[in-house]
Amino acid sequence: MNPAEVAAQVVALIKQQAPGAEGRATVSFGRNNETRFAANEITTAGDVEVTRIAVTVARGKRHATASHNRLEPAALSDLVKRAATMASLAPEDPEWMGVLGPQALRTPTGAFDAATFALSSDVRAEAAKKVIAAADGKGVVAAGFYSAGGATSALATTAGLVASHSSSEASLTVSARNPEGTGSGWAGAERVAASELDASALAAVAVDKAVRSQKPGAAEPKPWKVVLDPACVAEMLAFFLDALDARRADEGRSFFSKKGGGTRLGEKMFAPGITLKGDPFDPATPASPYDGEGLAIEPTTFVENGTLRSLVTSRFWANKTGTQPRPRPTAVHLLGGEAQSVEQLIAMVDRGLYVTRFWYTRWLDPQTMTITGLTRDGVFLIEKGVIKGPVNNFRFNESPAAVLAKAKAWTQETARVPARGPVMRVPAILTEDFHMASVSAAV
Amino acid sequence: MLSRRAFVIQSSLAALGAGCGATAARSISPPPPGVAPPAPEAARPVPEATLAAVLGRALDEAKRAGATYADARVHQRRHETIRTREDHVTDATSIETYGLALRVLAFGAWGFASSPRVSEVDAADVARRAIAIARANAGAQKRKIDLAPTPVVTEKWQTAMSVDPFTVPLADRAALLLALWPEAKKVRGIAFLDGGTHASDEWKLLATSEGSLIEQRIVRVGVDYQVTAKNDKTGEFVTRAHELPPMQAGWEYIAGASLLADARKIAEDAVEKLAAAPVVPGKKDLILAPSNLWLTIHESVGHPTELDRALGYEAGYAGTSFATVDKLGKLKYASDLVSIVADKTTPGGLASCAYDDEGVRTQEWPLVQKGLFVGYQTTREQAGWIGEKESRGTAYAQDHEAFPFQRMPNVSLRPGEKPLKLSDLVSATDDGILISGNGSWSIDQQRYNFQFGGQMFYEVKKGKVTRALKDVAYQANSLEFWKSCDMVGGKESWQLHGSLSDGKGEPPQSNAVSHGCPPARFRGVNIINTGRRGAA
Repeated sequence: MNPAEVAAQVVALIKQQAPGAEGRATVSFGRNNETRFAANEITTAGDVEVTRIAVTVARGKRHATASHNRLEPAALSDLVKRAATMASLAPEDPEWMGVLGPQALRTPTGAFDAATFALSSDVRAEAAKKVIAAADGKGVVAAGFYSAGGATSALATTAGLVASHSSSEASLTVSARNPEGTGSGWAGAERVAASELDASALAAVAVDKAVRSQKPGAAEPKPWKVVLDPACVAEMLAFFLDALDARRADEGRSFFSKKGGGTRLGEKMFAPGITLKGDPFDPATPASPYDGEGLAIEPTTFVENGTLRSLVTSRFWANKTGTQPRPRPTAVHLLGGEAQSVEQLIAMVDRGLYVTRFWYTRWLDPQTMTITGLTRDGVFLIEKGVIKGPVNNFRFNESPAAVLAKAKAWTQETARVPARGPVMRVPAILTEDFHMASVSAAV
Repeated sequence: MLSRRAFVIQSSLAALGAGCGATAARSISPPPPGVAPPAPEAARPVPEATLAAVLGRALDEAKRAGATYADARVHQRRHETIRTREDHVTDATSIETYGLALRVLAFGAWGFASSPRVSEVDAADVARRAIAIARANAGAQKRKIDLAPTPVVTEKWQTAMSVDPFTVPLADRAALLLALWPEAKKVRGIAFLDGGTHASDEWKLLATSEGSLIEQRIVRVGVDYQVTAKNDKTGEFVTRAHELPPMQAGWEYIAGASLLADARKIAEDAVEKLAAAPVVPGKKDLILAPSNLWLTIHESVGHPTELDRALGYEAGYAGTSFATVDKLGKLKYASDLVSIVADKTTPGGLASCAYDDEGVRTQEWPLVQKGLFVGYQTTREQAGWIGEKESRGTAYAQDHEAFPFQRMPNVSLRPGEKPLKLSDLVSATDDGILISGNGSWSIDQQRYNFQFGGQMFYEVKKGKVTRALKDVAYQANSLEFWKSCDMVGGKESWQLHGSLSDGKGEPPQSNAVSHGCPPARFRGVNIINTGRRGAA
């Protein structure tokens, strides 16, 4: 059976076992095939088969969700029973909106590559060996992770919604350090198809940064003009997306809340030219065309030329406020700018820093959308438009919103980088007044 | 993969054949006071005889194909959560996973595979896949893998508890949260309350090619809630979370907690914090309550003393460690008052159990003794890397889909010899700040530079708490911070806190871990104002 057939079977079981109730089945069959390396050797690897079946049952305003990973008919029946029992015991939820009926769903192209779904351990091991050889050749030590796999998932409801989506994903990240521990570099890429990952190219970037970042000079903690690589921009954008919620804004507990009530929709908050889109059908960011409830995800412009245009809005909140539901995006694209390259951004800086990666970012203050984090794997001092040499790492306390507000220029080309949250494509950005709070002795 | 992406979306912003010969005499702590399970049949979707056959088949097929060591695990996880907002439930969710995991050491390299189906046919398939991986990886294996010996045992163990949380009706668990709002909203300025209950059940049956067979069931519970206070005129808002730690225990632990009794106070705290003066940055003496200090111990002592980190095996992701092997037994880590132990035996500790996931009996051992760095966390593969004869028993895999690797045990600060209480630390402080609860946290990839917030911050002047403060975080270098510790509370003031989800590794795995500590004082720590991005 495929996931759609299992989902249909579960919906039939809901109708049979819980007459009069409504319900939703979400089924996913996936593979996580992974190879890890460190200290210039392969350390661990695994071929993991992932099955998930989730059942939501609602009776009136009482609802509950149960999930497991077993496909035997008796196990599916038990799962429906568990969800139905939990729902009957759950207190009423006035926010319950019912399951969705049929949706007008389109299929994104290019989201799934069968070879990546089934990528063998030999291919992954060969890629790891290439990286290790490149590191050995330059006398540095590589560590990294090759992950390939994907899933076919299906969603069906008792109200007639049927949806299905297949995706694959391959990512390779490489860290390289010199044996003395005075230099470190990183490179990473994420693609739909493993064949598009270039292990040698990624290794070359990481190894080169490790060599170039050795014996960093001292730079003081203060507000700096910075060129942020796409890896940094994507990391910050995850917090921005988290805050991009209509309900919290309306409730007055968000950066997007307006003083005195309401939201900041329509406000010019960011640098002219900053545009953030969410579009699962864009070939650059193919992703699921529906959310966890089966709600269709339409292309959305969240920020248009610096102006806040849309906030993520749940079905309940949309109903309450008389607005349109807007699902959380499964893919986002911070559109590219004018700069031809990162080098061109660097050339625009009289004195500043080129930052290649962030680490351990956490919320600090949601009121100002401030996060904390550290730089890692290569920070370089820029003077008069050229890189002078490596400098120490920093802790920063800074707002992703401020970074976008003070953006001066950004690259035309955007990169899909391994990041938390949805599929993300972002440019490298030149911004100013970036608060480096203290020096980090770490390399 | 989709499931993992979905997981990170939800959580990102709010997560090892040596012989089995004789073992040197050792003194280890008794295992935590669990009870031999009256076989948790309910937790086993497959009869015991079938399980034995499946595990046996996996190990036999692995050995036949060339494995010199293998461990097979049937692993079930259950997690039930209820989420509430103010006066209603928004989510009631049960998540379960079940399946077979097999790790093999063949051709000198590791291989691993898993399946959600627990049958003899699947056991054979899993063995074939795990062996194929070991064969593919063998060419890139430079170092010889030797496993420290461990005795062969047949044992059962489970969490000591009187009320299995999964038997508590959902409505009763929800009622506990729903009772909070009527109390909290009595306080003017309180706008929201978000709550959650957690019950997790981890059942596993481990069989090794050396002949050990170990069945364990670990039950963990937790309840969290936070209120939001806001000032509609200024647009300012703050949150205040209750500080009840999650625990390895039954529901009796939650039922006996003062969640409802504290609701009014938690709400009053939020309002007080909203109106509090922003902190003036600078160097101050810092008094940390156990509810704050545990996380600082976790990040600045727990992670740096993981041996795999120290040797570069986590360099690609979590990072390395300042506590390198050449410093073992030499590095002055902390002041003489500070002794920190690792264990998987503390009663109630989230990481406590009788055996780790490669069949090693759990124990307690020192990491920092009177300020000196003396110990690492190890597995069977790692023990020999620092010349130790036995594993410390810290291998763990989060579920059947996961490879077991070195994970943090409970890591705790020992109480001081003097019977000091939090109030004694305050009385002894001329100009300081007292912090309780956890806020923001972040630390660099070698564990030097950290920054921690909190829930409540109080100014201390001339031995007295004078007023609440806001926008406070402390920023320090791990070693400078621990060396500045000059007062440690006594054993009456020691509390066990912890987290249900500590992340490590690639693919990331979640581990539950506790940290016990008394309150302690640290001199001249850098305080920043987070409302101004740390600027003075």
